[in-house]
Amino acid sequence: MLSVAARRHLGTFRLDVAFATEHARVVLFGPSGAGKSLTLQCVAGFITPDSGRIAVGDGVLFDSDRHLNVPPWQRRVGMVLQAYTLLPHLTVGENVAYGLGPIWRDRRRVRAETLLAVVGLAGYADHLPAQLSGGQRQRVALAQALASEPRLLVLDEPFSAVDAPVRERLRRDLLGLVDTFQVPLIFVTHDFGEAYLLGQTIVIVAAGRAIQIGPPAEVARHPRTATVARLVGATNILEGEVVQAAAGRLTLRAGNLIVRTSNGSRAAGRRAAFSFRPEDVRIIPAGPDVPAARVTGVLPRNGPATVLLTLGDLTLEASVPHPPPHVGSSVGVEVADGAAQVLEGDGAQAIE
Amino acid sequence: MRRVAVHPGIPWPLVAAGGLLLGYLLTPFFFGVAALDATGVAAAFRQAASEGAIETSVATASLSTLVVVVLGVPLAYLLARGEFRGKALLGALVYLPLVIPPLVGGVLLLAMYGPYAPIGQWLGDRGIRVTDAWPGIVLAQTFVSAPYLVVAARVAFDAVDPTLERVSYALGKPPLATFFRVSLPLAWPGILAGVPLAWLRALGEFGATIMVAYHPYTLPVYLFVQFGAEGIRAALPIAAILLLVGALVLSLVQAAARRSAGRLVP
Repeated sequence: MLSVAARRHLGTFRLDVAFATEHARVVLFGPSGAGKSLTLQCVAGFITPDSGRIAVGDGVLFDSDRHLNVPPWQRRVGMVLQAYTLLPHLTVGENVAYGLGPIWRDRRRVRAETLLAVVGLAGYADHLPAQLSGGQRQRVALAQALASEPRLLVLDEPFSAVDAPVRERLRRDLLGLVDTFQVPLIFVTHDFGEAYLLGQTIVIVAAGRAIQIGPPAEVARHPRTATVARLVGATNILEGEVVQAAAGRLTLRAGNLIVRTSNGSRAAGRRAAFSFRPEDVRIIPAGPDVPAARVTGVLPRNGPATVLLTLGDLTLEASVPHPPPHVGSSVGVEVADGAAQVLEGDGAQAIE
Repeated sequence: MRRVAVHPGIPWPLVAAGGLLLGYLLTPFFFGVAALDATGVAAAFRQAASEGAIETSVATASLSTLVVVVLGVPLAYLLARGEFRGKALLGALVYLPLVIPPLVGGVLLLAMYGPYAPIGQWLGDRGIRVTDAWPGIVLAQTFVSAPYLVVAARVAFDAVDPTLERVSYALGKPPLATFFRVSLPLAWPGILAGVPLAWLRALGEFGATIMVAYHPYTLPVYLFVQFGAEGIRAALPIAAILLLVGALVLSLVQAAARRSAGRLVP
């Protein structure tokens, strides 16, 4: 349904992303400056790749081999950006009607009001953008983009400037809208929670490249590299030795800690880097088979607390339900069976 | 802890220096107005009108302002948004009429449109008289007043967020439609601020005009002619007319600016 390949040099930055998916909701996720917005600009037509091919369904928007470069105003790619980008000299209704094709004046008005009702802003047609809150403006921007009957919506951190409770509401409503209008979207965010909620496919972008592509649960569970592991919140990244490899599962040891993966193939005796999520670290009474760790810090959260542990030379993060252990106490540590993920590369250099 | 000054005082040497200049700028007006009498101004107005100077000045200044707006706004947009080699040079060249003496501008225009100059001759063969006629006056005024409008319009276009133009493209509006529906309306207040400046500059234009068109009289040329014939007593009331027009236009602009500033507050 969606295939994007774009290479472009911009000063010292080198963009070289490629991904393709049959899913309608794609999230580009990665740190700031990774090239997510740049990729979006390539799709919308405001940056021309040096080479590549961009296609939505049957429509090819850019193809360097065929010297095809559809101008932005013919791409039918609706755009919603982080900054409030409604046309300030037009009313809300006029903003929504702006992208409508040449239809009758009365029908424009009706269509705009219908779309405003769909995004929950019935009766706001005669307001000016400056009179709306941030969340309302982004709703209007969505209605405006949808009015032009786009073949694709691109959204660049559209909710990040909005207050948190409103943001959550906007995310849910966006899912509803996409479902109603059956329009595919590419959504850019640096918030993995948002990416997980909105994406059927998550494309992880770092340093100008798409480094892993997959469904949310898949990239969260099975990061392929240390970079991805950090980005998706698998913050325990260790280096150890494969002690057993059997039936497509590995047992690894780092210091006193033994973990098991649910996949991966590595010969026994090899060094390997691996990661696991703080939620998969359990604090249980220490015993003969349970290594003891020292609690060096407790970070309270609204929800499970983050507990910092030292186990020999290892530093671990655990996400622990209330009540967390006391700082300085000694606890037993266990990693859920199959929770660990072996990372690409050999041992230490994979972590860097 | 240091207290943050909410309204820091301005040091007295700065006040003194600024006040001195302000006084110098205003004093001539005081003396000029003191030497005037209202009946003299009215008589001068009637005489200037019967000579056609008022009509010529207002009509040519308005016409050249129109030319400057219609052609200067696109040039300003080009300078604000265009990406091409030599853009910085072109931006500087726009100021050229401001920095060369108007008389020099007049000489240059004569070299182009004079009866024996290439373009002037070509036009003359087709019955179009440029020198000593309205076209010459309009060309001279356009030459000197264009920078005021172009600079104001460029600043106004620079202040329009290019993202808004991109949003318009993404909504299917090609560049020309986007220019008329987004860029121009948003820059319009700033462009409008340049219009009276250009108009007043055209109205007051003397140096280039007198080289190109001694006749028909514009108000400044008429002022110069009267001064030559009858001295300061005849010149002063005509100067007062030009001053009054300038003051009137500027106060109208101020009022309009206040009104539009009030409208921006929802």
